[in-house]
Parts: sequence; C-alpha cells; structure tokens
Amino acid sequence: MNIFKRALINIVANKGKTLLLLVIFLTSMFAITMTSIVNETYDKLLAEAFPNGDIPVEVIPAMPKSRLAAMRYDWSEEKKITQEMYDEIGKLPSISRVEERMSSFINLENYEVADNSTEKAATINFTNDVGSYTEESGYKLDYDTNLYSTEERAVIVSDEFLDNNNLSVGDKITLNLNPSSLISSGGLDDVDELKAMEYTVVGTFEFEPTQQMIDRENQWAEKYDYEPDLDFTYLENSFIMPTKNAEEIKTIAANNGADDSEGPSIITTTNLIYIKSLSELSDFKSEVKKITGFDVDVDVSFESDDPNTDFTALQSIIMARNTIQNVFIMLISVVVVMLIIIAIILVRGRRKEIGILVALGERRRNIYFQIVFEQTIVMVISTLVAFPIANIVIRQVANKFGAVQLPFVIAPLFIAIVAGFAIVIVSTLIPAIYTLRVNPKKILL
Amino acid sequence: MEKFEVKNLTHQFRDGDKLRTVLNNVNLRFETGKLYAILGYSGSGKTTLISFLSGLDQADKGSIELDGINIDDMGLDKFRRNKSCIVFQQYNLIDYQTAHQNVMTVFGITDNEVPPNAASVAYNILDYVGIGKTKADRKVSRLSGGEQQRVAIARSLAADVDLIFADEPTGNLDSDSEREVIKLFKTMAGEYNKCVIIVTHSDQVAKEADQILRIESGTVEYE
Repeated sequence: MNIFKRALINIVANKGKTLLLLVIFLTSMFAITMTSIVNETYDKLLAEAFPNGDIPVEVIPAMPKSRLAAMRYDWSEEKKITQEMYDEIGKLPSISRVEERMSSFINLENYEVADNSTEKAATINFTNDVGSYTEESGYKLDYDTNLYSTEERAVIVSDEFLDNNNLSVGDKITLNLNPSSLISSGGLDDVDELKAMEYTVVGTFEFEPTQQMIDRENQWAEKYDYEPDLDFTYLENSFIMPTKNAEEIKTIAANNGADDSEGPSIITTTNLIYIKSLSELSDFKSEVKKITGFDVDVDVSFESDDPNTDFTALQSIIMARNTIQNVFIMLISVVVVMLIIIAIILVRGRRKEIGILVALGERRRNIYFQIVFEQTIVMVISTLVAFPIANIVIRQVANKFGAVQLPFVIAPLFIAIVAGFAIVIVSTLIPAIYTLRVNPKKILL
Repeated sequence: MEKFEVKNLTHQFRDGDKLRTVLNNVNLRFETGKLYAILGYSGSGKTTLISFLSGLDQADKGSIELDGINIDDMGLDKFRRNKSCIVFQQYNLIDYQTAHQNVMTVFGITDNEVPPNAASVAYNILDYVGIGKTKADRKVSRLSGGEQQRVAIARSLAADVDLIFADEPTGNLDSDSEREVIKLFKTMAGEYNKCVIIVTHSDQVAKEADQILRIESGTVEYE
C-alpha cells in the first residue's frame, strides 16, 4: 500500500479531521478564488479596453491640494513643476508615450445661448472620462448620450444652466470662444476676436458641492486672499465636453492667433501617460514615486478611444478589487496561521502512527509526502467547491452594485490551486520537522 | 541471513547525577530457525537491548552485525525496512486502518519483493494467524487485544524478513491468547526459519524458547 493509498485511507477514516481541514481550506480557497477572479476580470477588461497593450495611466500628484485654485489664481508655477515631473516620467523605461491631456479649465469670455446673449464667464472641462470626473467633483450626471461615441459637437451642462437659459437636452448652444483668454493671476485678457461654435446639449448634470469642497474653497480663499465662491457658480456654469471637441477649439485658438507666450488656450493640468503593458504597472508606480519624491496616486485611467469599452464594469471591478483584496488578504493570512496551528496539533495527534511507520522502516520523506498529499487532496476538493461558489457570489455582488456582466475566467481555478499548494507546503513545514525528528523508541516502547 | 551478532555492546545512561551502565560489553550471536527469549527483571535493560537489536536506537559502543555488516552502516531505517520487524507489547497498529490495511502497509514500505497478489496474500497471512476475512476488514481498534497482537504478528510475517523482534508481546494478553501468540512465534521460528527474539518476563514464553538469555547487571548470559 503506497503513500497515496495511505493518505486516502486517512482522509476517509478520519472524517472529523478531514471536515475541519475542508472547512478551513474552503474558506481560504474561497478567498483566494474571489481575489483571483476579481484580478483576472480586471486584467481581462483592461486588455479588452486597451487591446494594443498601450495602457494609459493617470498620475495624480498628491502635492498641492489647491491645484484647481492655484490654476485659477496662480497656476503657472504649478504647471511648470507638474510639467517637469511629466518630463521626467516620460523618460522612464516603462513608458510608451506621454500625451497632453486637456482636462482642465478654459475660460470663455462669454457664451451665447440660442439668441440670448449673456455676459457670464464659463468653464469648460474637457474630458473623455465623464464618469470618474463627475464622481470626484460632486457632479451627478443625468445624461443619455454617451460622450465617447458622439460624432457631433457635444456638451453637457448643468441643470441650473439649462433652467436659467430655458434650454433642454437636444438643443444647440453657441459658445463664443476667446482663444487667447486664460484664467490667470493676472486676470482675464482683453477680448480680441470671438469665435462662435455650435454645440448640442447631450446631457445635464446636477452639482451639489461636497463638504470637502466647501472646506477646500474656504482654505483656498484664505490662502489666496479672495472671497470664497461657496455657490460654486463657476462650476454651475461649466461645460463638460469630449477631448476631441476640445482639440478643435485648441486648433481654432491657434488659428486665431493665440499667443504662445501667454500659454495655450487650453491648460493641461495632468498628462496622460501610456505604459507599455499591464505588467509594467507596478514597476511604473515605484519609479514614479522615486521621481516625484512625494506620494502619488497611480491608477489605470478609464480613458479609451474605444466606444465599446465597458467602463462601468471596469470601474466596478477596480473598486471591488481594492476592497476584496484587502479583506481577503487578511482572511487568507488568518487561515494560513490557523492551518499551521491545526497541522501542528494534528501531526502531534498522529505521533503514534508516525512512530509506527518509522519503526517499520518507512522513509521519513514519504511520511511527510503522505501528510502533504492528504492536505493537497482536501485543498483541491475545497478549491473545486469554492470556485463555482465564488463565481456565483461575485456575480451576485457585482449585480447588486450595478456592475454589468463580468466575463468568466478560468485562470483563478489554477491560481487558487497553486496558491493552495503553497499554503499546504507552508502549513506542513513544522510537521515535516516533527516527522524528521520523531524517535519511535520513545513513542512505542 | 546467516548470522546476527552483537559485539561488545555497551550503553550507559544518566540517572540523576550517576552514570548507570545498562549494557556492559555484551556479546551475543543469533541464528535463524530459533526462538530466543531474553528474560530479566524490570529495569534490567531488556527493552534497551531490544531497541538496539531492532534498530530503533543506537548503543554508545559496540556493534550489531547482520551477516558481517554493521546495521549502523547499513542504515537503521533500511535495516528495519528490509531486514527486521518488531512486535510491541502495545501492538502499535495504525488504529484507523483495518487489520488488512495494517498488513498491507508493510508492502508499501519494504524494498523487498512484494507478491503481485499482495492483497490476497495479506488476507491469507491474517487467516493464518487466526484473523478471518470479516475481522480483517474491521478497524483494528474494534478488535480484542489478542486479535490486535495477531495482526501485529501478521504484519511482521508479511514483511518477509529473517529477524523478528518482540517486546513483551504477551504482556497485555490473557493466558489463552498468550498461548496462541507464543505458538505463532514458535511456528515462525520453526516452520518459517525466522530468527525470533522476544524480550519477556513470561515463564510461558521462556518455556517454549529454544534458547533463553538472562539479562542482569548489564550483562547477558545464555542459560
């Protein structure tokens, strides 16, 4: 009877012990499988979103929290610092390319709505990332048309803007752009020549300033010595438009003689950085921290030129990944410690059996292999049970939190088995030492 | 096996502050086909001697040689695996296994040739020692002491080795079971040409032995 048969007999005969191990392994295998499914799903969605492996990442320096205010009142120095950082980042080996990203503010000298000219300043936020932008900025979007796929000149405006101007979604507005006018500490430039451009209102947003924004506005107002704008009128009068349309404005600005010495018409605050592949992401993060010298948030950007990209799923899965990873890494750690303790208790309970086998001349490594094999069988059974459960659970959770269909990934099954085997090896290390040192004479005679 | 010899075996252990000599320059020679009984009072060193003879432990000095090869050089694990088997007073069977599985375990351990029909051979051996098929398929924990000892003897027979050691094999048995077990050991030596060495203080065992050795004050004398 070889060690495999002995192991199977042990598993079947000692049902209580097997059940205990099964429950513990099931917990750990469930945690590992869940984490792995989320990671694999994340990678798969990213790979679908960025099929060329050219992955845009967003680097958000944690330096001035007052970046927006600084740009409104003293942006040039920060822009310089930021640009220097991006120049350095651009030299990193993991970088594919760095692109200017027009996600910031351009001031309009005025805007014209239908035939009703007004004299209000407005702000345009250029973005391909409406979802994440609005989440961060206190906007609540209510729109029907996807900005990513729109072929027309599209713009999203605030509810207040719509009401104030008696507009509705689908109407067209004309923006009179002053290409050379910027928001700066020096105030607005004189109006030279306005360029009228027509845009379709494709959606609206509600703006509710968060307490954090109100606090920040007060801080900035104190720091930069201005009257706090607690109504955030500049945001109520802001537009959100796709980068493609903004590029057009930039070109027009240039054609209209925007003066480079005064800066471009469109201020870039963050650049979009492309890394060569997903596998470079962790290297990139550590490289960036070294360059900047301060904490930075680095994450894969949601931006993509692919209109079919399922950003909702991607966003959900990224959020889920962070939460699940933290919870389950703790859970796995606890389970591994439990397994080590239980393995020690169990092997001590089997001292007589081990002594008998040694007395019969069994090779000690075979006794260890038998213990490993017993745990491996339980671990594999647990994984095969945990895998479908984890798949069902994660889909239920994803549905509950509004994520769309997650792809089915098989790799977590193998990842869980490999990780489970590593846990088996770790948890049987002390039993291995015990087996090597067991003295049959002391136990049996 | 031609000869199994003990040469100048000496062993001491610490008893409080004193160093006590449990075996003092012991020289012995054993042959196949004989049943040996080693007698002695409690604490005389019987169990220590059997632990050295069976390769469960090593003495301080001297050697134990099987056909001229020191068993230490052979490797004690290998000696126990391929050349000898031991039967214990407490039976020492794997209690969650059946009697048949306990016997089969030996086939998985030994490097000696295993019969191709090992499973049926194991049943036959068990039957030979008085454990029928029904009891052979029972967990050993559900067998009586006498039956468990028969299973232990069957295990040593399955190992198909020339040297069989036993440490007080009848110590936990009633007189009927004792007689049966002694008969089995006697048969193993006489019919199967094994060298059976039993440590005991049982007069019954001594009576059946081909050779009695008495251990006292660190020395072992043939009677």
